[in-house]
Amino acid sequence: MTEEVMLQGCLDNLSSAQGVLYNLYSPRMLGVCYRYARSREDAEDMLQDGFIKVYSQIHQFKGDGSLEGWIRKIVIHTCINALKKNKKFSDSVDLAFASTIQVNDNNISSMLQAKQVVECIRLLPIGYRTVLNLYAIEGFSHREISSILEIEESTSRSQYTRAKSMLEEILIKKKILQKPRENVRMVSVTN
Amino acid sequence: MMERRFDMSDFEQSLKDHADQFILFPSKRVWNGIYNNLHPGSRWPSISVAIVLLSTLIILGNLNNSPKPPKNLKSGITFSKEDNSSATNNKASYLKHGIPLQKNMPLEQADYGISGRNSIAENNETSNNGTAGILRKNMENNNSINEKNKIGNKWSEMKANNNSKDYRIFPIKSTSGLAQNNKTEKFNNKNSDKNYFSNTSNINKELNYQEYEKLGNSNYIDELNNSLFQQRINANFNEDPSENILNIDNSNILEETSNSIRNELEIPVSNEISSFVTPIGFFAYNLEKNVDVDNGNTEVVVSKKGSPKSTNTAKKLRKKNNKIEWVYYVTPLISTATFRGKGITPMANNYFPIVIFQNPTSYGMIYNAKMGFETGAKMTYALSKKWKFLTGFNLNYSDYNIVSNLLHPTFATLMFNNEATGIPYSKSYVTFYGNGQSLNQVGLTNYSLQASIPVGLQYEIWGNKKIQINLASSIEPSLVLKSHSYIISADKRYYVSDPSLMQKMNISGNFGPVITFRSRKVKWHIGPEIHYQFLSTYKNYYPIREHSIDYGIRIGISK
Repeated sequence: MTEEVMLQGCLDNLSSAQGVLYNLYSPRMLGVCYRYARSREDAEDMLQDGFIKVYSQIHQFKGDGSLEGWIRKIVIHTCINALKKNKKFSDSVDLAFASTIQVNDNNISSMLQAKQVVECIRLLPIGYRTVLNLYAIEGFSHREISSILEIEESTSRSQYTRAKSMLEEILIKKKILQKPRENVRMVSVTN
Repeated sequence: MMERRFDMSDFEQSLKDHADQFILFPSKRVWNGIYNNLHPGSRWPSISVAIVLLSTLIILGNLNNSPKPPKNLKSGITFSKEDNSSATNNKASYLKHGIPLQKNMPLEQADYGISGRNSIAENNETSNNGTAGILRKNMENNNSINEKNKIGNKWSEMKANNNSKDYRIFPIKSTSGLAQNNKTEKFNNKNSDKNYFSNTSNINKELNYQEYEKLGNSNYIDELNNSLFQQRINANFNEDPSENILNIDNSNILEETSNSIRNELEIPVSNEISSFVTPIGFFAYNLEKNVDVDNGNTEVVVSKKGSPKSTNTAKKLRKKNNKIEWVYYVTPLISTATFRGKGITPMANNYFPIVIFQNPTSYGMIYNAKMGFETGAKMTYALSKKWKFLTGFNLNYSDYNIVSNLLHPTFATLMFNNEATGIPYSKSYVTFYGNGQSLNQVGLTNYSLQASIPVGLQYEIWGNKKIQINLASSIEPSLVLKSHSYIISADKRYYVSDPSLMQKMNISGNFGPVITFRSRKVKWHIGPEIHYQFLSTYKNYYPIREHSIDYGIRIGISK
């Protein structure tokens, strides 16, 4: 089934076409939701709501970009809206908190590297995680993030910085990342 | 190595690359939720069907799964609290409580022991409820020492199995013990038992069916019923299982067996040990823990009170042979009516005596049959292999048409019988309909909508696995939900309507053959039927009796 046929089928509310679209994009979109959600169940709920919006707004897709990117945008907004119901994104978490995060083997089971990185991201506090996802992965600007999350742009920047540092700590602890060498300043000693 | 691949110098790109590679496959519920949201039209029938099925399941569950173990068994093994000590110590008591034995069985050769084997279906699985055990006799006759040792291991499994809660013991009979019996020849092949039991008269005349039926447990499996006589055990157990030990050891049991417990069961079994046990004994399974095998003395400890449950095999069979079946049907009908009784007409001068119609059937009414329908749900409960009790719920609509003419308003008289005194009296009505000369012919519809609960019996005349032919008959007390009739006047000239004359309750009868066959998904029940209304449509003080008759073809489905 070509994309045009599939889109037309979705416009006509044909369950077969809707199923094809779902099967095509749901795995990747669930991966997106998983980065935002607290749990897999929450991620699936977000995915479900997201796809319902996709089907209801399919007539708005003009074809000027990729369908996946369009779906992804809807899904991300669905995730954000779901998080907004429960979480304020103005919370700040000190870097010192990062050292208290217990990263043990139980947190991340053996899996592929991509999932390991995603699981490390999920270890971050939800505010940091959301900003990190939106800025570093989804490519939103801090201005856009501030309007989406209804926070200050400066808050978005500071949270991103902290999230990045915290993620680095986690990746080092998990030995996914090597600790960077400290710069050694040579001091000459003269008699 | 990972640290080379995740580059903090290009943090965002590395993070994006890794995140994009990450996929997860959602569970089915996600799509189900999306689909139901997008296609809500299919939701409500599903919900209503689910409610109906759930209600039916609950009702079926209460009807079919609430066995009440009989307290007193005249046959079968009973371990009563009071008799525990005797059961423990006294073989005679054990027998007295019920292993049915065959007359003329050479019990002097008996060497009872217990061995374990699998369930009747011959699978070797050991269910969580334990495995089967067989109380055997004539072990030597069957070269069964090895067998005994082998299946003694099963008993170890049973002993180790702590999950079983119930048990079931089947008496089976030895063909070796029937060497002198001319029935032996019947059992020479694998299917001998089936052949034997295909002739159900063999069972009926030989089994103590009344006792069998008294057991009352509705969890019988028809197929097993036909292959083996099974007795369920009702037991009252002590808390301490050790007090419920049945000691079955070598003995001259015949001498100790009281005549009262002997039943001519004559249940044949196959000669092949792999399928059935040839020695007479009891086929037991689902025993509780503490089952030991002792070559000489065997202890069967049953420690749980309650009704026995089936093995996995029996459960599978039970699913297929449920005693209760629900049939949902619709019957298009041709409805008409018959009339009886002696009408009363007054003399032209209204003097007594009253003239009685000489020919009560010639009421001067022209009427035509019309289409009606019947629909409902019928529940059948298998009383035996052939007989089924049926009940259910019925909605019946029947009507017929009277050919009449439209007239100027005129007076018409109906004559009634005073029920208390027997003296006739008349009542006058104004009517527009009659048999007089008129160009305006009209049809007057007499109809009745009745809800009824049929109660009856169904008998299988003939059948195999695919098709069955049954005869069904039922009596249906009914409630008249809605009805309307035009009644011919005393002088047979006019039609009068009087709702107060209509009966509110009635009784009908239903009779007809039913052909049952199975398609891929459902079971069809099709057959002609006759529906006859026993009581008059009108109240008793109106002398003319109308009985509706419906003919139709019932089409029903079940699963």
